[in-house]
Parts: sequence; C-alpha cells; structure tokens
Amino acid sequence: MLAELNCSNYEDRAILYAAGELNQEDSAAVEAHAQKCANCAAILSREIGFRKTLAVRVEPADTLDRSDLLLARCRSELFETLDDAAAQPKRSWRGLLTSLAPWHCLRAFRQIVVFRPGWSAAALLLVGALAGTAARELYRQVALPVGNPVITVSAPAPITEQELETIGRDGVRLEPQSGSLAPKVELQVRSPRPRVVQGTSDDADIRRVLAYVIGHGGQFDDGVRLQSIDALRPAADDPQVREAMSEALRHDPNPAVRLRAIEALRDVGSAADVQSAILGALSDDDNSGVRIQALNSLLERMRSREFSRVPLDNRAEGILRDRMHNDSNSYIRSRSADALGQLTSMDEDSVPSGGRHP
Amino acid sequence: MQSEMMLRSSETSTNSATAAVAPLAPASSPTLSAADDRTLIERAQAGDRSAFELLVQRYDRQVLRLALNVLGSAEDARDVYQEAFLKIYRNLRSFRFECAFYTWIYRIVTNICLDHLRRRRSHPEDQPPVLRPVSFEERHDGDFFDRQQGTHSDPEREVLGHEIGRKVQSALQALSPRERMVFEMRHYQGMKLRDIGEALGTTEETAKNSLFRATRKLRTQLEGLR
Repeated sequence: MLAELNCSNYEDRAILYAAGELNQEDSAAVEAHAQKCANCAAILSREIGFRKTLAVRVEPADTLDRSDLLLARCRSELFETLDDAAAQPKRSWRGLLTSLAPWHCLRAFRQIVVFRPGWSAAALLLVGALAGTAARELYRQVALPVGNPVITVSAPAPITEQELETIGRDGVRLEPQSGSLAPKVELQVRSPRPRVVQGTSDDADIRRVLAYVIGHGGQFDDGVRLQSIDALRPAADDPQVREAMSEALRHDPNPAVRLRAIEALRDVGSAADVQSAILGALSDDDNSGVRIQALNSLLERMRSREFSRVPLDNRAEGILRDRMHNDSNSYIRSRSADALGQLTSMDEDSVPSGGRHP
Repeated sequence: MQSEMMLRSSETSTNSATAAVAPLAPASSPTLSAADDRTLIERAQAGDRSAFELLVQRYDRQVLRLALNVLGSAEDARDVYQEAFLKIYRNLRSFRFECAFYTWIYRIVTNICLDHLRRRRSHPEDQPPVLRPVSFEERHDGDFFDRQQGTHSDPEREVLGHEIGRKVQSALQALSPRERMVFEMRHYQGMKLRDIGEALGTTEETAKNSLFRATRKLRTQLEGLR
C-alpha cells in the first residue's frame, strides 16, 4: 500500500497505474479519486492515452532481426568462441609466455577477421598492403630459383588444375575496392611456371580460382575463404560457383564460412543442388547456428514465388520431421514444426496430385 | 502444433511481466532440456557445456531484443550479446542463487548496454544509423511469425504505427542512458520495477523515479502526437 493519494501526488500514481505497477487496492484508489476530481481524471486519461501511443511503436528488434538470422548468427559465434576457449590450454606462467607467440597473435587475428567484419576489412587492407609488398619482394629474392623471375601479367593466362593445387595458403590475396567494384584478387602461382596473376572476380579464370578456394577449406585461411565467398556472391548463379559454395556448406571446417555460404546461396533460386546442400546442413551440421540459418533459408525458399515452380527435394519432409523430434535446439524443433505445417498446407493448396517430386 | 504454441508464447512473452522467464520448449532429451534453471545452472557450473547452451537458448532472445531496442543497431547488439554471454560463462561459478538467474543476466546485460549508451553520449559520431521504417508490403512479406502478427492489423494503422514509432524512437534517444534502460525494460520488456531496480543494481524507488522522469520527458517530446 502506497502513501495516501491526493492531487499533489496523483500524476506519479497515474503513471504507475498506466504502467500496471499498482496493486488492486491502489488502482481502485486512483480510479475513485479520478471520479471526484476532474483535473486528476484528465491526468489519468492522458497517461492511459500516452501508454497506448507508446504501444503502437514498432520495436527496432522487429525491424532489425525479423527472421532471427541475427540471433542465429550470435549463437553460432558465441558457441564457436566457447569452443575456441575450451580448446586453449589452461594458463600458467609458461602459458603466459607462449601466449605472446606469433601463432596466438594469428589466432586472435583470425577471430577478429571472422567476427568483426568492419575491423577485419580495415585490418586486412593495412596488413595486406604491408605484407603484400614485403612478401612479394621476399618471394622474388628467396622462394624462387635464381634466373626464374616472376612474370606479372594483367590479363591472366588460363590457370591449369595442376597450378590450382600449387597455390599456397598465403598465395591468394583479396583487396577490397571502393564502391561496388569487385575486389582485386592477386594470386601467386608457384609451379610449374611461377608467376603472379591479378584480376577481379569478373574474370572467369579468377572466379574459378576463388571457387577452388571456397571448396578447399583446409588449404586456405578462414579469412580468405570468407572473402572469396563475398567476392563470388554476385556470381552465385554460375553453376561452378554454386557447386563450390554448396561444397563449402557441406564440408568447410569453420561454421562462420558455412553460415556465409548459406547467405550467399540465398541469392540463388531454388536449384536442386542448393536445396540439397541446405537440407544437408539442416540435417547434419553439428553447429546449431548453421542449422538455424539453413532452416530459415529453407523457409524463405518455401515462401518465394519460385518455389511453386521448382520441385522440393523429397528428403525435405523427412528431415524436417526428424529435426522437429530430435534436434537438440528448441528453436529448430519449433520452426521445423512450422515448416512442416506450411509444407502440408502448400501440398493441399498448390502442388498438383502426385505430391512433391523426387 | 504444441511446439509452435510454445514458441509463439515465448515470442509474445517479451511483453509480459515474466518475460525473462521464457517457457521451456518441448524436450527432445527430457533429462536436460526439460530441466529447470537451477539444475541447468548447477550442471553448467560443473562444466557441462550443453547445459550452458540450453541456458543461453532460454534467455538469449530477450537479451538480443533488449539490446536491439535500446541500441538500435544490429552490430552493437551483436557485440552486447557476445560480451554478455561470455561474461556470464566466465562468472557462472560465482552465481550463488541469491537472486533469480534472469535478474543476474539482466544485470550484466544492462551494464553493458549502459556502457554503450554512455560511450555514444560522449562520442556523438557513434550514433546508430536511422532505422528505415519497414513498409506494409515488406512486413507482410515476412516470415511465419511476422504474418501472424500482421493478421489483425490494417494498413492505415500500420503506417500510423511506423510514423509514431519513428517519433517515439527519436524521443527515446533523448533520455539519459539509465532512464532509457528503465523505460525500455518496463514498457517493452514488461519487467516489474522491483526487478528492474535489482537488475540495475539499485532500488525499486530509484527505478520508479527514473520511470517518472522518462515518462515526463517523453510526454513533452511527443506532445500533440495523439
């Protein structure tokens, strides 16, 4: 029970009344006072109206994360950070010394690259500019046999399969360009004819190399693979690119890369191979963030106009049913149930007799 | 169907007083996912990672929602999410069940959000981008849950809602960080003033005074809107 109610403290009490903070007794006192005093009745009516006005506001969360993609990404990043932390040995005085070692710095750098795209873009520009200049010089002096100079060509000669396999971990450099221009790509091909090839992802040959980078998770750094996916995103309709992204989604060791691959594949229609990769991720990926993203992507496809024209993989229903019952993540279980419901209603409404297609 | 209802109730629970205590989803592994908070916390304190993940999944939607509403920026909200749950993970062993777990989580989250808001105040150039209102068509092109929300509304009301929403948003930005937090938690997260006071490390009376100040400021700013 609050202090005695009078006209001087009525406004505060009306605010609490409108906010639903008063108990039954205090609420009744507020209402009774309003019946006796016209001024206070106006105050109460104003507060109730103000509260209703506030309720009309569309909350930023509804605009900024309408499909829970941000939530899925946050979860994925958090769990991956925890995985990384768990993988690190316990600190000791010796550990503190080793934490200054270059590979720890590299790991920290890798995390920044993966989780802070803004910082990573700036850092990559800086590091890339410095390291690229120094490394090329060093490469010329040390790595190459004397008498076999680097040839720099602006229009790359076709790169063979054998050459692709020789591109080293540090042999691909992507340099973002201003505006909407495709990033500049520089490749250092070591064998059989060492050379540096430059171009953008608009070049078919460079595109082939970037697709190779995406599809070979263990051979290149995480940051390079993420950048390659971004660089190839506008060309995701290219079957070769699509195949590489699907491959990354199935097999890349880094969940952030797999998430990025799903995002890139969103731009592609409902092609069967893409559907298959997304269903595979939903069914088998051990990272719940990736599974959530895959499920959301599947739901998006089901809502798209194109969906009625493109057959849905006949595994979809079984996988959704399995996720609904068995997924460890409650969100996935619930969303899978929704997707199944949608699928059933679409079957009844629009899919011709014979059901979905093999 | 049951799971759909459970999730929807979790979505809408942000407006209720018990928002932070999200209802449990149906359990596929009854031993763990149906366990109460206390069991999960104790297991997580003993180093059970899957118990911690379940705790995260119970509370992170509300945490992200609060951060998005208060900061108005997906990037900042993402930072708050990561920082908050890493802090919770690191300090979980020190949680002694002296208050509700969600209060403890909110204490951590609100402190991080307040830091962000204060930083912004001292660096006005770090303001979040102005949110583009979602059009009626876009809203109705949304996902399952968006469409459920839109079922009972009409276009005129939605357009008006966006206009009012934009003005309310800009008025909210003029509040002090603490007033902003109290107002957001009371009106949009549905928390009681007692819990808000606890989460902010202060008393219910102080939270109440912040609510009064915030309401008066907002009312002045939004005068003539209705």
